[in-house]
Amino acid sequence: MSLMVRILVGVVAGGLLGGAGLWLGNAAETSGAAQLAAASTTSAAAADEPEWIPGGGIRFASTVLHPAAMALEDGVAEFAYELVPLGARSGELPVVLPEEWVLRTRSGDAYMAATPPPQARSDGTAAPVAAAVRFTDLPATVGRVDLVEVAVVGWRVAVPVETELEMPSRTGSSVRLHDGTTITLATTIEQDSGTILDFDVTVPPDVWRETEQNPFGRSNTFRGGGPGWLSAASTIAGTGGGGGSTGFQLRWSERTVPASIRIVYTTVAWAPLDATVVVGGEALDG
Amino acid sequence: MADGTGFSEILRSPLDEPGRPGVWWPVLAGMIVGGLVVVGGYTVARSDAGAAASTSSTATVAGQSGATTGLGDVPFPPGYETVSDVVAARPEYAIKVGGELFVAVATVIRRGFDASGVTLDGGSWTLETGTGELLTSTAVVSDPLLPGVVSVVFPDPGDAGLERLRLIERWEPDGREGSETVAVDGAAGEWDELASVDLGGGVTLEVTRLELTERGGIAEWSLTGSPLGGDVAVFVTARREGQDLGSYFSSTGFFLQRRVVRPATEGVVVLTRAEGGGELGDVAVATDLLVEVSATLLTSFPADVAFDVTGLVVATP
Repeated sequence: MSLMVRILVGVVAGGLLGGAGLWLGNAAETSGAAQLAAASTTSAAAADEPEWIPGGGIRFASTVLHPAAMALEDGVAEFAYELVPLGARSGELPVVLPEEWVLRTRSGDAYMAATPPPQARSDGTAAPVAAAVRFTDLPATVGRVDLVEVAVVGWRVAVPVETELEMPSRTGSSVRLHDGTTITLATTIEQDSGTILDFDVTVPPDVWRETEQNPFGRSNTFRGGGPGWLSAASTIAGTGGGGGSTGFQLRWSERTVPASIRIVYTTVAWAPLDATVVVGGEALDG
Repeated sequence: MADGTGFSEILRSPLDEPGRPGVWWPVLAGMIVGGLVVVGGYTVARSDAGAAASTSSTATVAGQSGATTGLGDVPFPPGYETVSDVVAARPEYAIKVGGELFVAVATVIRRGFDASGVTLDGGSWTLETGTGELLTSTAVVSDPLLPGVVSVVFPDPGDAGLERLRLIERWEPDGREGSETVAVDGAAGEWDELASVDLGGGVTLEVTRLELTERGGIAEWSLTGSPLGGDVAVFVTARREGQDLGSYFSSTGFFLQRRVVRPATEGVVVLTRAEGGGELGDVAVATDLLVEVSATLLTSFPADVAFDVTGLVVATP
């Protein structure tokens, strides 16, 4: 082999080795979570949207899911993750949330799980949501290396809704709202400065409705519709998410309340949406 | 004299000897050179990318004050339509409630921006149905805890199906405040052309009529100098010789109500007597009224952003 050929071979080999070294170096910079994300097969790759998804992550609609950790102990697999909104408002919460999950093993078995509305962090120093999904009843023979894929198969989408209803002002009158909430006019109290109307609220047992400590659904409000009402708005007290009764109060400006009253109900409907997004793949065994 | 063999011997490197160690030195040298070229090129490219990112970031922050130059070089994520240099949007879902269709539109704000004033809390939209009917939005509903989504409200299109959602006008809020003290005879209880409050920028709010009773009242207002208008909150304090007798306030402002409808240049607000505001009837002995107003003016920005909504999920709870 001539001298020039040997030099050329060296240059090519050196270039390949240098490139490989750089590639390995970059790979080492990525976290374990990012490796989980990179294993995704059906979701948007982080590399496609680096400006919008810094640090990796898997985007579905306007929510970015960052895998954090996978643990397996006593037949329970726990997949921890963080959620951040795609946008950049300070303190903004994601408006599309995962609900139904599936864990697949190397043998082809699938384990389903569901997550309630996550708690939101309020300090603004980290991802607004950190949560985990638990897959239970895995056989003792299943090890970490057998966990090959975690996917979200059902989501909830926030839809702000405001409706106005009309109901009799007779004590005991009830009306059922679009989301199953029932309000009942419990008492009316005449005062010199007007009339107080106390309403009972019955919320169906749905964790995606309202929970006391959950900012995702806390902003449900009632207010009087049209002129004549004194109080601006009343917010439903906490219901714990398991259904139950609570109430709100409005004030009418006169002693005599019209036979028919209008009430405005503002809420966020967390609408279900089926879509499969793999959020953890082969790297789960790492 | 040396013969040819001897000359060749001088030129020949010891490394050229077959079977000698180090005969691949040109390969090693080439590998070193090749490696340096790759690493060097990568370093230069990375520093260029960093500079580009820094430039983009600088331009973004500068845009907070409304500058838009240089923001288009980082596209919004796939699936989003650019509404402005700062905001992009994407319809996510729709539900029918109470004879209305609520189309949930997720919004994205560019990193580095303060989102205040650049949201889609108000605007004018149209919806083309599957039968070709063109519906005009009646309101935009939002939730203060979830600023990343708004619902655009249309009349229920029935079974027509959805084709195209279009934003044709975007509104941005501009808060103004002002006050004026007016001498009155409290016993009158009602006054026409009561006050004219300068809100700055050529905008004036006139309280064209005020009625006060023991329990509450109404205030009629009119805006000039604001073509699109907005919504107004009114606060009135009744005084007698410098002492407060009682105060009145309008219940809600425009964006507190969260349902943003067509803004107006005139309107009526209902006033509530504040609790603990003095003995009832005090207003009758008032000698002057402090009229304070808070206006949320809307500025309109033309837009032409279309979204294909043929595949949008439409649910009926």
